[in-house]
Amino acid sequence: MKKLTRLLALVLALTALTALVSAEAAYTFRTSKENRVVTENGEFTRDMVAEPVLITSIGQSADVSMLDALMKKVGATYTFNATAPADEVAKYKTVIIASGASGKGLGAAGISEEDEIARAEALLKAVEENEITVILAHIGGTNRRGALSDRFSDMVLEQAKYIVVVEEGNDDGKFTDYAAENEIPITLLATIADAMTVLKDLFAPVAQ
Amino acid sequence: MINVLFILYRVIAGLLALVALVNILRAKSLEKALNHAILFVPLLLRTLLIK
Amino acid sequence: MNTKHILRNVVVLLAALALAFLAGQEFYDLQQPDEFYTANPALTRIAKLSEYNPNLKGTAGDTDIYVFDSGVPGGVALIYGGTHANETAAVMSAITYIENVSVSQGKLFVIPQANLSAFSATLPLRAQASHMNFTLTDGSTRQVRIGTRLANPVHQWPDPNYRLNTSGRMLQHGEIAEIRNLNRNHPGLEEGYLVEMVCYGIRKLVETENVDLLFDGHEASPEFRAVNFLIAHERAMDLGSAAILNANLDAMMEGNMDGYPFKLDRSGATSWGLSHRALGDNTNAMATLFESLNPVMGFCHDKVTEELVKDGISPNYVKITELGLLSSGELTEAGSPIELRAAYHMEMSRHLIGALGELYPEKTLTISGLPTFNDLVTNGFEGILKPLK
Repeated sequence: MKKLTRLLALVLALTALTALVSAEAAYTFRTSKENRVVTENGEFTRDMVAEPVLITSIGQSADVSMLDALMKKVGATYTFNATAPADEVAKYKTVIIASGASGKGLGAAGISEEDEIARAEALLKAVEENEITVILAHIGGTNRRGALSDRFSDMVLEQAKYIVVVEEGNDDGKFTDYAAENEIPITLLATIADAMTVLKDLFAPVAQ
Repeated sequence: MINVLFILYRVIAGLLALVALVNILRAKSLEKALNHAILFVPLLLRTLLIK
Repeated sequence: MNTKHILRNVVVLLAALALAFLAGQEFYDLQQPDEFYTANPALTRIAKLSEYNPNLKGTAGDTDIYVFDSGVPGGVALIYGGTHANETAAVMSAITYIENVSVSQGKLFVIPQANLSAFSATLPLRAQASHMNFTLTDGSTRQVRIGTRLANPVHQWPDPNYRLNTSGRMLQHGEIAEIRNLNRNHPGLEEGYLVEMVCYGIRKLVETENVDLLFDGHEASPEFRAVNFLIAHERAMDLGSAAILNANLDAMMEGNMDGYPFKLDRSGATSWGLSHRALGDNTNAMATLFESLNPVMGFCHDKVTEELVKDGISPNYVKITELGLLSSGELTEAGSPIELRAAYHMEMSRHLIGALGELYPEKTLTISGLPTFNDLVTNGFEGILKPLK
């Protein structure tokens, strides 16, 4: 009986210790109704981007279409190609990548997951070799978080010079933690429409 | 063919309703009468295209 | 058999007939058509779907089409609800259009009850409501039927064991009842099952009238991942993104800083038979479908009362949300009222129409007269619906 009690106590202690070690601080949202666009880890300004600009997707989610609509709205000059291969990407100075996986999107584009991963690897190698500025746009919220989506996002994060995230999709601090560790400017948005503020500052035509 | 099947099924439902009705009247116990009555109600409603 | 037995059996038969009569009365009542407000001066005419598929004439699938023709060349849109008759917000949004919309350029077609047969029955064993009642400001009552997902079996019967429909979808096994679901049988068949003929009628309407934009309104249970999503055929993706963006920007300008919870997704390549895929592939229309959240459609809904159906207040779903199992913003104690859901449909469709003209100026469809989002949410349908007399 004594041995059993000691064993039970040990198990309980180990469980408590594990819980203590693995406990993470809950994520605190930065954006609010009043404060809709929050930038951390420094600024990312217009002089850090150059034309020509490409918008593409890694994961083929519909978010790339939303990004296209946003860029049209701000009157930016850019090219849109959701499935741009590495050799095309290499021709651009700035690439905005909407990351997020969609089975429907991949199916509609006739691309398998493996093909998209291969395209992503080639594309990101090309941006590195050509010193292209990469902006990661994760604007699909929690719908674009999951094993495959996160895998795509992780690939882009390695090359990203700037991160734009609808904060709902950062509810575990994934993007803010990475940005902080790697000193990459990150802008958190309350909603997708708030991306207009950021894109306008970076890409809207300047009045002559 | 689709319309023919519809009519055929309606006729079958009607015949089955009739059989159930006769069985209610011929039932030798209350239990059996009620059993046939339970079948009769939906068959009647389906024959009449109410439910 | 003796007299006592015959008498007993006759009593049982009479009781059965009485039961059939009482139950039958309720079922029969549900087969009676709804009455809609048709005095909108902008309403050009009420067409019938049989004008586009004569095989529907005299059948339970021959639904009404409300036509608003400005007489000025422009874009053409088809807005319809009632593909699934239990998805009430889509029906109410269509009714709001019928009662209020005015068209000054282009043409608008509105169908409130696309699967008319589906309004004449509810789903057995699901304790669903059969009607919604709204008491208007003048004291009169407007009543709208709530039906079910599928056409009534008294109109289309029997279900086959297997059907390969014109979309290439195989309906079999557990899915065979979907032969009575409009949204699995597009683009339809001119002469086939009732629902296939209705689908064909809709397709011919789109082709004959050169519909540029198609909006199919739906609702889904809280468990469904794509609630508040606009599903767009690939040719409609630009339109969908522009519409969602514009809707959110307009909302923010009107003081609703959170905007709308609308998201965009592409129509699945294998969504055979669904409107956004099948009509998108087989017509020139830009096909879209929108899903709002309806708590009463979920498997965990509370007892079905008028409060649940109209106000969308579901303590079960509040609890489920508190447990972190669902995260939709509408599953709060405030509920997900039909006015909010119908307003989402209206805003989404209104902005799709706006984006149509923005992206394709030759397809401008100019509409006005609809209540604003705030009007509908604040005043409710009791304040928005018009009295019939």
